Amino acid sequence: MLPYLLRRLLGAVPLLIAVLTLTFIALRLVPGDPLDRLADNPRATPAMIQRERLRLGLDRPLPVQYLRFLKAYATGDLGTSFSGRRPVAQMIAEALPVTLLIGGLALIVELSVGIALGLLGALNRGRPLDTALGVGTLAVHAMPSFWLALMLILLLAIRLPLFPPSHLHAIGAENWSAGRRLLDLGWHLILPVAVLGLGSAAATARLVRTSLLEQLGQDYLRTARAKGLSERQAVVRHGLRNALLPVVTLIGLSVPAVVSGAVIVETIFSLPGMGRLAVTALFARDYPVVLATTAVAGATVVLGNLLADIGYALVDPRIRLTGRR
Amino acid sequence: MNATRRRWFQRLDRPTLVGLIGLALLAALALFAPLLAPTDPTAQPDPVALRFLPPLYNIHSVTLRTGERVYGYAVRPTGDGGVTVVRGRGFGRAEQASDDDPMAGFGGTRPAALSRTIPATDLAPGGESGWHQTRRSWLGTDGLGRDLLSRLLYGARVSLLIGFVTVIVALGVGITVGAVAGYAGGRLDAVLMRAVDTLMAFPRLFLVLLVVAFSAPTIPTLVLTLGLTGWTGTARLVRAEVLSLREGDFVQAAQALGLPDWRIVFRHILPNAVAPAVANAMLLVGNVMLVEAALSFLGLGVQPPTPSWGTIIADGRDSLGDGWWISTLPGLLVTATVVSLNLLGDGLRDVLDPRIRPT
Repeated sequence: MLPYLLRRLLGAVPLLIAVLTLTFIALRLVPGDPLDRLADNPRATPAMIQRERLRLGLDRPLPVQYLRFLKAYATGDLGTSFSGRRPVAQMIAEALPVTLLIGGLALIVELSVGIALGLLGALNRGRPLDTALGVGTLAVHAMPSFWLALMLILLLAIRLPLFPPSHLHAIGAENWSAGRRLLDLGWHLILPVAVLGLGSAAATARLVRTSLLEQLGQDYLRTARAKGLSERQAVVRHGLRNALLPVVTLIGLSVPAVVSGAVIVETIFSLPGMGRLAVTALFARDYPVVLATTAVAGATVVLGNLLADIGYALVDPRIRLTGRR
Repeated sequence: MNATRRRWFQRLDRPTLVGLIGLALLAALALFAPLLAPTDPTAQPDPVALRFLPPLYNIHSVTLRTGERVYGYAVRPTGDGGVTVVRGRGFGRAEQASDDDPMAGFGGTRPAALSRTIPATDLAPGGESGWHQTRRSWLGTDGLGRDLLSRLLYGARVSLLIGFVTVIVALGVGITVGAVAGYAGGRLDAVLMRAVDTLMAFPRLFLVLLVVAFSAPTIPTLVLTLGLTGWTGTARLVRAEVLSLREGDFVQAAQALGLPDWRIVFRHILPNAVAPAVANAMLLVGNVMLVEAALSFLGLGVQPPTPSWGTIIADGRDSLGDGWWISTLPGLLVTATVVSLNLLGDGLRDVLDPRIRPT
């Protein structure tokens, strides 16, 4: 197992470099100069802008800039924000946990709700419940996530004020006891996590249902039924285990969707995560922060895929064998 | 019954037909928007008096002797021949809605100061039919008093246009890359597929945001950016098909005839290889519409006053309490469109792929 893990980890390095390269190229292909925003400031003299250009190394040829960029990122130096003059690494260190928390909880919602609904559909195949679940999951999957968020806010925060419509903490929460603060945080997280999790849960439910129905006709399930297990026991104990293999792949594939979704959800619910940091930086044309958030988002996806692959190897013995060879 | 003797639409199952009809209806709405829309989608006859008018209410207008028109949501006689035009709502807590207020029950409040009383001498001649016009506002108005139905109809054009044109761009790039990679094989194939892997690993919204935010968010920019980031799935599908077709007898025959490679790929292999990509394109259109809506929501998509479904949802975002219908209705339309496209895409895949055609 260990050599397999090492090889997978090493394999992620070129992909990380590719992600950084893509970020660099995308920012450079775009018209406009990174220092445009500074030039907008009436108090910025041409001399100051020139000094900033030299400090950021923007006067060097592009290949040199590219290598310096790679080297700085490899050593963890993400530069300094234009607005606020704070180290970008520090800003990311504050924002990333929020996004990881929301994204992680959303993945849990996606898996639990998705598997439960998929199982329910497969066990009731052809009955009205199955049809209703099919229509429902299709519709939820087709909804724009920010619209789902607005509708939940309208119904559950405005018309029926059950949940707070935005932010991570209530006003004055700093002075509360740790337990109450945690409860308050959970209360604020319910709507954003629901929005982020339910959209992918719908896709997972459809995949689990199809995958389970494929397993239901297999010989080993007939054996399980023949030895006296009820249909429910046979499906849950034996069928589900095999049906979940494609779902592990789906988790890896849904990491980019969750990272993109975080941009929307954090903007709507005013949560101080990576997505909001990226959008704020884009509007402020805060070049170093834009570069860093995009690169970190790409790196998160690469690492997420890596974890999904390792998870797949843990679940499926056949893959572990080929990994050793 | 022999499948070939049945008409083409009889071979489609019910979900596919639902998708086809749904999409045809939505496309018809977009196509005939100028005929169906009651007003110009950007017209603001009176942004204050007509804002947040709920669906199905009437818009009243009273014409003055000077030719000026006074808009409102109710017209009441004052008793001496003059009228009071009740105007405007959604100004916070200035005054509680009264019992005879047609807006009561919608949670809005209005200041009486906005109502305008017009004496009989100022009214245009010709009796009530001469100065009093009413028009039903089927889906209400937005925060600037614009007609929501008109905006949704014209928004359908923008949203569907961006969706389909973007996917044509994505299909063009994806089919070309997939065909070249699949037919050439070797090192070129490896390089192209690594590029596809990288682009697929990237959270697309970040990449699109980055490009759109640093250039101008015009419709052509949106189409190009979304198209050039959305071709990877198509490339993989086409490459897989080309790989399996490359060894076919008809390809060997063409090679033996000495045809140039480009001709073999584009005239002989591709026509047999694009079916899965075309079916998948329907899902891509839905996907693009969702990303476009998200971009518009962030203020980086279609720019006001041009309506797209995404911008209309974004318009209603800050006034959910005053006008729930503004965000709700375009969201339902996006959902309906994406559902139709998904149903149609699944159905097309079954029809176009000869291997899974039912016997």
